[in-house]
Amino acid sequence: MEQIKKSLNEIVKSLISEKKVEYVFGFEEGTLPLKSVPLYIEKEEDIDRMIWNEYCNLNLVKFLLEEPHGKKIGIILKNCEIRSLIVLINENQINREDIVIIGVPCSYGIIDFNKVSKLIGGKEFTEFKKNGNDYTFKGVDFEKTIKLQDILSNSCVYCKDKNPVEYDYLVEAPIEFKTIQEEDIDEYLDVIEFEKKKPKERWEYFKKELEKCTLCMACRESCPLCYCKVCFIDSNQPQWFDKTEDLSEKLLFHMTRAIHLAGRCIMCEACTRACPEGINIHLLYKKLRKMSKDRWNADKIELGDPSVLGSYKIDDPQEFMVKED
Amino acid sequence: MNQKQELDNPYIPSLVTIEDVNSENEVNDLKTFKLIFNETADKEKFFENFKPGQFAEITEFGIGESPIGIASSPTEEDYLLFTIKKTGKVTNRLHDSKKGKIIGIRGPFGNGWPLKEAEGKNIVIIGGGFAFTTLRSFIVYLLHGNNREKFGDIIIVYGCRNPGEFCYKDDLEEWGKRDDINLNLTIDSEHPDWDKLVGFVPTITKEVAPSPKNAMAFVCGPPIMIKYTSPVLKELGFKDEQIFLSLEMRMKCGIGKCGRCNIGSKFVCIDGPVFSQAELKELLRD
Amino acid sequence: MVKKKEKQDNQTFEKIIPKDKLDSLIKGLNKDFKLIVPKETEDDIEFDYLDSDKEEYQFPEYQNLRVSPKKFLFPRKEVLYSFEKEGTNIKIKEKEELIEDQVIFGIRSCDARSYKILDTFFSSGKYSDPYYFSKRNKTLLIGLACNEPMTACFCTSVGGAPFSSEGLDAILYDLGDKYIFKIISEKGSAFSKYVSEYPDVKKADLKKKEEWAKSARDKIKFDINLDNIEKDLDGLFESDIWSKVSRRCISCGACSYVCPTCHCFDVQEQSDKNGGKRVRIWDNCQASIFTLEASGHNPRNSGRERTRQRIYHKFNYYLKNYKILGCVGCGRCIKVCPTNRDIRETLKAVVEAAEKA
Repeated sequence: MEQIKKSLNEIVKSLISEKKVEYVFGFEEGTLPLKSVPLYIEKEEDIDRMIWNEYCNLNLVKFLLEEPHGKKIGIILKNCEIRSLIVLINENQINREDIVIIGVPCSYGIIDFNKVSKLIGGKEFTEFKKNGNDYTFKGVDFEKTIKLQDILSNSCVYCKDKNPVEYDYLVEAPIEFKTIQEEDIDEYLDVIEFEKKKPKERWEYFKKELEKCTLCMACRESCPLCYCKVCFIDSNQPQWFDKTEDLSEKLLFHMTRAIHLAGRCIMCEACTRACPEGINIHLLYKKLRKMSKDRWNADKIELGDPSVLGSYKIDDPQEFMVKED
Repeated sequence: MNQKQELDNPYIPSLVTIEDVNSENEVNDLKTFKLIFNETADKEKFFENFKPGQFAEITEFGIGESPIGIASSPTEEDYLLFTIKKTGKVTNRLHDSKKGKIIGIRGPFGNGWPLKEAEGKNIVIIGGGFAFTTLRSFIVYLLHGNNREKFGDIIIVYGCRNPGEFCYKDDLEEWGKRDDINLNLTIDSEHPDWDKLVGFVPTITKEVAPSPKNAMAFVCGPPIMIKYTSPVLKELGFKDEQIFLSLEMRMKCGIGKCGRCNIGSKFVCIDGPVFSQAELKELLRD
Repeated sequence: MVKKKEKQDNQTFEKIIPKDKLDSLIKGLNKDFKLIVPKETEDDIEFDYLDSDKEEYQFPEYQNLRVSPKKFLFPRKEVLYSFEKEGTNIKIKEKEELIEDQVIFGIRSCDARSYKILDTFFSSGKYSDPYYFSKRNKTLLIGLACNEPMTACFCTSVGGAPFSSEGLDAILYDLGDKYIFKIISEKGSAFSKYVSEYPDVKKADLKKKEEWAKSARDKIKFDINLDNIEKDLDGLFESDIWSKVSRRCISCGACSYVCPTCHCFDVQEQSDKNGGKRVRIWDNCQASIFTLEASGHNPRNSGRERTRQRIYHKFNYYLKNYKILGCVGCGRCIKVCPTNRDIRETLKAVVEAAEKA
């Protein structure tokens, strides 16, 4: 970690001092423990506030969408986030040459604050300590030690795609990167396990999660790939959605969002972490990603790749069609 | 306990029947609906508080509700008129409605034009496009019975893009014949069927040059018209306290509860829709 | 509005409840009142209805709950009326609610104050809100003073205090090994019969209570003087602090959905061919659609205006209209924000900017 910080500092410092970018986008410490805040590094002295750790929970690529084309911006990203930026570049939303990517290899991934809250029964912790992969949380009337793998974002637990595939600067990080799991496991193991459940069980699971939804749109607003000018649920003419928070409406929103992200979602899970209710429906998105992989070997999107669902190849699998003998 | 609760529930609409529908303009996206209350009690309650410049919430059952300015005057005692532009899902459905259909109405809401303050004054009315609706209500009120003598000169400037866009053509014709109103109708640019004024509302206002002396100006129109008319009135010597505007904002409840139509600390639905220019200057406007 | 009068000192009704008797007190209350209590769920603690005949209940340990009890008086979704179509005719059915007397038990001082704010708002102006008051007028509040404020708490900066009894009908003070039960309002005297068997409070207990109150107050680290906030904001409407604050905001509505005083709503229609209903649902001013007009014009088109609106509504417009602040300092918006946008930092920035101006 120290080495990452040192290397990051050098890169950011050179970008700022040589005025190669208008600002570099990173994180600073939040006002509560285990929380971070986006930081616009415009001056050299801002660099002191910069942090890079396992609770930099947002996907900063989202904020790039607000910036005008032609403005040169530096941004510190992990590989999943880089892939989301690649999707936006491929979809002509962002110009590659506007962005200076500082790629950071990802160690174990990002902590999901909601998971921590749940494991300590909705109580508040005032401090936490790290000892290897053990995190000890302390509140006014409790102290609890939790293993990192139990509070990591779902997708981080299985992720092996940790080295930046696209960058302008690469942070040196001589750490052996692996998943937090002890043995080498399938990246889609959680989906495979879930697929084995009966449809009713799967439905019960999603139903239970979706019932918590308040339609606050934190998931949509934290997702860099949700960039429609008018989201279908906000559309008034025609109105598809009555916003009444009935289960059918919540289901309509989340299913449609998932379908819109099929073949595009890169499983950064900024949405899961942003959810104020701690709703966990990442398997829906991961299943769609697995389908992209199984059908078109297109789960790891790279620069210049055609849109997974927006392109057609003659040898695309067509198992839904009737086969001729 | 809450005493106001004894009053009727302000969220429940009264039932009204569409008595007549009239297309107002050539492109047919403006229609005037004549509504009759199904229950006399509802009508009496409505007319108890009704004055020109107010609005009501019109319900298309199963579709939703829209806030619409009331185009008729309380002096037209038997019915209500609403001139509605086809813009959203409720107004679209209303435009498809035929005579005899039952819809809902809640209101009247808002403060309306300041009638009491206007008594004894010269009245300058400036309107543009279809936003003339509550100004019509006002003019009909001014001309009704003995009301006319309570007010001084009445000067009207009403502008539209082209001749086909004018609402209330029968009223305009009638008003044009009267010698106790100075009616100025104008269109944006020359048109073969037009023998009246040509020019934008601010320009014509400048030409008509109403005197600010003992006068009040009532302005309603698209934002761009208001933007350029205000400086003209100022130039003519009107003070901010003499200029009254009727505003629009997205609204839902109409009774100051749903929270979206505020301009600074005021709600357009209950503190407005009519504000003096002076009041607006005091407010923090987005 | 619900009128509450502080009882005179000589009539004060204060009893000592042993810790192990609290659950039986709750059970006793539940015989006569519908009770809303903090309940432990699988991974959280939430306010919920209690039916002590059917369920085992133990009053949990908590600081404050993640979600305020706002929804019990102002539900997330509420039917305003329903209607039936009979041929061309329409029949409107007003919602008939049978509301029993209910008690929210264990509410914290900040949340109790939030109801005072909602009372003021929903009764303001010409129209009172019948749906809110149909429930509010039947609701009593038994508070639990706050011994352990949380990291984001700032009630003391907005006129509250961890031991405040404002807005409550009765309050419990936790002295560590026992509770003081004190009746606050006239309505609250209805509770005297449930605790009459317990011993009266002693001087030593009251002294201990004062110590707890002080220690709780001292635990709130954030302190800002907001006496001039209305005037400060009057001069900062066009300030660039709003661009800075909104730069980190992603325009989700998480803050307003957890806020105990946010009360804006949307009205929607649900229907089928035979009829339907009109409902209101919580809405939030951080969404761009909140003020988007049918014409396409939006007076609050960017995050800057929307962020500003939320702060002005609570810290300027409320003071102008009702002479109270619209915030109780519960800190929920700070905790829930995906970008950790901290309203305390915003207030600090406002006060600093006003000093400079």
